[in-house]
Amino acid sequence: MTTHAAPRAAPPAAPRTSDAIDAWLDRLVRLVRFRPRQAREIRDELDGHLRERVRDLMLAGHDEPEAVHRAIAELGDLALLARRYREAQSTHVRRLAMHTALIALAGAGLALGAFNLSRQPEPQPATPAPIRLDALMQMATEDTTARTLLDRLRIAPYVDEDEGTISFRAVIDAESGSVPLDAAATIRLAPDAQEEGARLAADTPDLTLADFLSLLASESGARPYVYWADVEQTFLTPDSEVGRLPLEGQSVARALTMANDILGRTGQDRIDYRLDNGLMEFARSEFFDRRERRLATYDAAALLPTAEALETSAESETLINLIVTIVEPDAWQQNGGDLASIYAAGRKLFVNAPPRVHERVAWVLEELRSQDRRTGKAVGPGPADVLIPPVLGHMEGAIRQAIAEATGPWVFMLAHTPADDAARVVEAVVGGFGGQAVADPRTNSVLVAGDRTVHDLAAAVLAAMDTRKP
Amino acid sequence: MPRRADPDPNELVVLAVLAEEPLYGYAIARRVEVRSSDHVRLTPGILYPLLKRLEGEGLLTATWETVRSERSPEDADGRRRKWYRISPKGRRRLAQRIDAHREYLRAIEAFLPPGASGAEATA
Repeated sequence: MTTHAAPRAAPPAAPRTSDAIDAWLDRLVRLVRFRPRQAREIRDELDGHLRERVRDLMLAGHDEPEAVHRAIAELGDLALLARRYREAQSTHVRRLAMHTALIALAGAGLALGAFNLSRQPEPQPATPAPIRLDALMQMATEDTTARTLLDRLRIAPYVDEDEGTISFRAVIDAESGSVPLDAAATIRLAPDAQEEGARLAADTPDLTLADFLSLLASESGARPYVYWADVEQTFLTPDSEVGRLPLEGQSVARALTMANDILGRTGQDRIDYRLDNGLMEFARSEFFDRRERRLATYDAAALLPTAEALETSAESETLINLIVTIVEPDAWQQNGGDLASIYAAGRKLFVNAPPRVHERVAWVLEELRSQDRRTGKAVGPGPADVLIPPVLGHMEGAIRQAIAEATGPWVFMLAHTPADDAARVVEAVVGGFGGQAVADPRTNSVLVAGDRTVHDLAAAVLAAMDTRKP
Repeated sequence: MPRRADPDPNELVVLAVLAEEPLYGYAIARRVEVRSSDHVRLTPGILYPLLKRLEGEGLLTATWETVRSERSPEDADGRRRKWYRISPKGRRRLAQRIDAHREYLRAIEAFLPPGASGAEATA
């Protein structure tokens, strides 16, 4: 990491405040690794904070260098602050990453159709006027009315148990009620992974966490071993109450999922288990991730056709960027994480990561290769396939919940519009809503991460942009 | 599903302060200090990432305002200030947080002898 060298020459008094604060903010922004717009917003906000704080400290009698020093010190360790920012940013992304890992939205995405904001409602009060998308987009960048409107845009999932599909209907919750939109997309769920192991014979009584984990082990015919020192890092204790659970007939994995939900554990802090040789181990997900991390190579020859040995190409950078953006973003060293690393050498990818990350990396690469095989396939309106990796099949319930919350990341593949252009437009529109968009020029896709509003907005923008050019 | 809200006083405090009026980051920190007679301190290293998360979750909305210097109005130098406003979703979350916190206080209350100070109770 490069840091700003302290100026050697004694600077005049006035700019010194700026220099110290600017240098500090520069370092923070580089550590946080946000996209430029977000980085600038954080910078501006903290800059304002520091200057105001310096002023107050000087009013309280501190001289200027001391005030600057104290104001910066109050913000705490730079790396820790950067990490908190990344965590704050990724809370919703990570929640979904845990549940669905990847939802690849192929095709034209959710064509939300066009709305007309300017028209008055039709005489029929039950069918409010449609709203024109272009007007909405323009307004969204200018005022908060349109944002409020977009806040009401929701994607409602419809689950067809028999078909094993989830389809979306977009609804806008206007004053007069919900307006179903015309287009819908369908998710095709990967087949359920086999849930190995025991099913619980009965609902549980009121249990503490320790008793609950013992019960899971004994139902699986195993002895429990809980790494309490690890589990207690998340402020759970053996006496934390899990309560009464309706678990009759449920698998052990499902039971643990419910307990994690009840205890409010998310992401890497969720309690996981390993069952081997009659021993059932319990610890945080991160604990097993670290223990099971391994190095593997992936053949990316089909995706990096021109790469030379040991050479880092723009193509390989794009590929790595794609992977670290959509697979467990927080895990990667590239994103400031410490669970996984990835490096391209020639046409091979070297990945050091926990098994579940490997599975998702493999899945992404397979999706990309199959996309290559499908080149030339027209991508038009109509139902789009969304795939959920098989590894997550057993979490269908959680997936449905996550889809109901409709977060990201999503992959939109474009047929007619260059991904770079599209990503810029999407970023401009969703940036204000905490969303991010990255182009993958090689597959001509746009990756979008964000909450439900971000997704809906991106889908609508891309559907409107990605039309055949005359 | 019954959900045990883990007590997150910082989130409660920020939402409660913003439920009264829109504020920017530094003003939130000051308001919290004053209101709690310095007992609650939201250090900036906690506050700003928290605001980012709450904004990301749609509990707060933010708008930017260009700051004008009181002393020299021409010296605006383009500095911007980010104002936060609580959203309807944020108000619902605040209500949940308050309920959860009251429940927590009631639970603790059961361990406190009536009327006695801590020293007398444990003597």
